[in-house]
Amino acid sequence: MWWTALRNESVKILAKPRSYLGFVAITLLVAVILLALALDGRSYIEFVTSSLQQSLTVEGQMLNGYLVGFIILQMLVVHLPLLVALVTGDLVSGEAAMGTLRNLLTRPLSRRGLLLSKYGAAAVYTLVLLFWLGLMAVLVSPWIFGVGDLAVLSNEGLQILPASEVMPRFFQAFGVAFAALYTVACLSVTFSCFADNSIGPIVGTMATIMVFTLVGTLDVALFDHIRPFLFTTHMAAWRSLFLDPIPWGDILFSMLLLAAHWVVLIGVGLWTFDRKDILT
Amino acid sequence: MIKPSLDVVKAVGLVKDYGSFRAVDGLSFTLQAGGVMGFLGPNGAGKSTTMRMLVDLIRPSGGELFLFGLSFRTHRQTILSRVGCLIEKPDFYKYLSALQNLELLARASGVSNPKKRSEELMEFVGLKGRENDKVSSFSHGMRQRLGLAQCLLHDPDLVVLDEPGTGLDPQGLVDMREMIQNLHQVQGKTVLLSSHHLAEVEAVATDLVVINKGRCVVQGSAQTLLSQSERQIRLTVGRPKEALALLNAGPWAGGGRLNENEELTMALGREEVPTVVQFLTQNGFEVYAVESRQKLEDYYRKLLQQNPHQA
Repeated sequence: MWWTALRNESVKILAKPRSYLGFVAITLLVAVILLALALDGRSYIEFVTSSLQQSLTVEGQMLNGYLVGFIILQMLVVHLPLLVALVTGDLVSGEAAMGTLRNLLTRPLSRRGLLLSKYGAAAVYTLVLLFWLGLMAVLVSPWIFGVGDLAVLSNEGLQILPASEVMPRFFQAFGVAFAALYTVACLSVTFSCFADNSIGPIVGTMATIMVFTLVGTLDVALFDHIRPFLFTTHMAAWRSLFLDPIPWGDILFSMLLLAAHWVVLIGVGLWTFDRKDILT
Repeated sequence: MIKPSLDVVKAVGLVKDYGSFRAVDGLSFTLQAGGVMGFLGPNGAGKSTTMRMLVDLIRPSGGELFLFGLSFRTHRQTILSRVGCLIEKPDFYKYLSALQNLELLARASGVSNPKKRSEELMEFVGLKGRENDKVSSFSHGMRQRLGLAQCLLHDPDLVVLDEPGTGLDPQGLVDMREMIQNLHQVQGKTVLLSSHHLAEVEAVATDLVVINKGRCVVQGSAQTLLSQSERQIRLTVGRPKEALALLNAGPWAGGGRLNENEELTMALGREEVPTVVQFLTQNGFEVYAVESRQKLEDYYRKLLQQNPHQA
């Protein structure tokens, strides 16, 4: 029955116009970035690497599809939480507002099963959205700009990754980015269990991200103990996959912490939804 | 722990609190298999809350509720596989077609061939030909019909209908009544029907429960309860004002009144009707017509007047 419920949820997401906003937004944003870099990418690269040009001689094409893909990921992973929350924050509360939750909850399916299917649908949607971004970043960019070694600026300085290593790292980075974005999805679905309108959970999710990000960036001793445990601290963990050597220990910690968030958020959602009186 | 029975519905001392407000206050009633129970009460009596508790949309604060002798606490899915409901207004996914909506709910109900079953029910509720139209294009009446279809998808034994006639035009009300009668008489389903359209309830109900302020005022078979009430007699007589004056001067003083059509109406016991007619004719009045009514509406109004606070 869980698979049936997941299928139903997927059918609904597919049929809802709102679900395509994210894809349209990503396509437009990527198009803008690609156009900008195609027109003025060389001067952008020169500006970024100006401090290194006296000590380094660059041979070959630094502005290539892999670098553009990396830039796209870096820019858009920041915007993806809003696009994810826009759909996942509506999964329970939107149905409560529409009145369709009544129809679903009077079917011979457990409330927990139904809610888990919504968390499942949120995972599928997040994955597909990320896949679309990946398609744009890793396939379209190399098609336009060609491929080459990837130059990445890190705390250690400029790192050059051979072209042959880049694609596997992109795939792994998408895995870590999914873990972070699914935490956002879980947060908005959980908020959705408390509300009877769509706006509340979406605004609540974005507000939480903003507050946590602020706490994570403020250099205050009080927050030092909290910071490592905020999911927002690990939202950019995917970037570590482009370091050499890859800090697997840090990445594992990030993944475990994000997974712990899933468990807690889903647990809170199930507990709340199981006891919720459906009054709409 | 109260022992469950084999009644289709058995509510024992049901309570539902919303904060400090008690919406349902120790409500008890039973519904036996094969009947159509009219579930009546004024606005705010606790009908909708009770009906939501019957399908586990709302959890009781106290009391016991058994459906088919089972409790939601331990057999939620088994119970819901035997119950279909239309609670308040029929809501659907407006961006899906009528058939897609039904198919989706049929799958959620574990129906083996969702498409076939959905098409059958579209025909049953008179929406054949509109299967592929988006629900957003449906009128309220069409949505009510679709609402009835969705609650029958898994061929339930008990059908719970909360105000199924709301917003329907006169023909829609007749069609809805016929569909409910079909469910009961042809398909043998047990129906719990809440409605403010008392004439519709009267036409189909075999049993009645009247609640007020969250408590049961009366329960019993419709026939028995209505036979206990006084008959309302409407007499079409010549010179009605004089006839009324005569009656008021005699043994029926204060019992009669003239309605807006200048007809004489009186509340009488069944055996008194021929006596009144004879009395009038003996006194020179022409009696053109006698109509004996025993309407649920009269009974219901009188019952609530007698039990305004339902102590």
